[in-house]
Amino acid sequence: MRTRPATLDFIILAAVCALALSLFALPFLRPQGQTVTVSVRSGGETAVFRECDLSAEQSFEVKNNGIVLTVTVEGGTVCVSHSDCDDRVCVNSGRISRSGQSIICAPAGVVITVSGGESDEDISAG
Amino acid sequence: MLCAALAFSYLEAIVPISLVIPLPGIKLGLANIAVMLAFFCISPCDAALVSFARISLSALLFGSPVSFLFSLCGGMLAYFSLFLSKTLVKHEKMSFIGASVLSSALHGSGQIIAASIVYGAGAFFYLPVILLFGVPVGALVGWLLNILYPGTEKIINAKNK
Repeated sequence: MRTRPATLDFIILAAVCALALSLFALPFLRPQGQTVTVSVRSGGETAVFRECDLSAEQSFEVKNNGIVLTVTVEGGTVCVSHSDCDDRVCVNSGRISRSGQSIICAPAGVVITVSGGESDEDISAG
Repeated sequence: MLCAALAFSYLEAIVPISLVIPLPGIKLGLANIAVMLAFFCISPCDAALVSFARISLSALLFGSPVSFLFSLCGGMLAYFSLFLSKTLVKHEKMSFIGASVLSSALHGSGQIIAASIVYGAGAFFYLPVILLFGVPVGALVGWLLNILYPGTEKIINAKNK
């Protein structure tokens, strides 16, 4: 068994980093979205809480699992402007605007997704 | 080995790395030290047992059903990478650093896959973060394994003689 670093170690390290960095770029290849869908999950069931247009400036609260999130739509983007949750990943996720992007608050069981937009081939026709 | 694995998990549970890196899912993965030592020094079957038992006990003691699912998916993928790693390390192509980084990348990927089952495809946006932070952490564990392996191997084989 080899216990001294080898070239292959560095190749693997570099490969994983390169993969991660290229995955960061993926969202920018998607088209600008049109619709915001907020889903909430409780007791194993997921339901759509609200659906609205990405272009309509608005702010509303979503409450689930005892956590309150404030969702804000402005400037063609949507974000979680405030949350009671412990880790605040949702708030730190920033603004999303591209079709297919989501913000997830795992403790609250809330998923905010952007969909629609021009030439979005993933959505079934009709 | 199971005790070591569990002790590592407990240490991780009480020392919150979230003070340094405030991101969920980012952890030191120290328990992998025990699993990998078991895989390389004892046998793959024993390593699988150590891994599964550690995941189950950890989830029962410090986790939740969701964390169990995430850990299990991550652990399973990481475990299968060990077979490839063992061949490469045995033939002197790479050290435990590469093996551990591979383990870490696959563990993170497994967790994201589990997350996408529970929360939907949006979970994949977190994959680059998990992968990126998994590299230094995996490299650290690998470096520790490079140091720990020779001594452990001697002790285990001395017992079997």
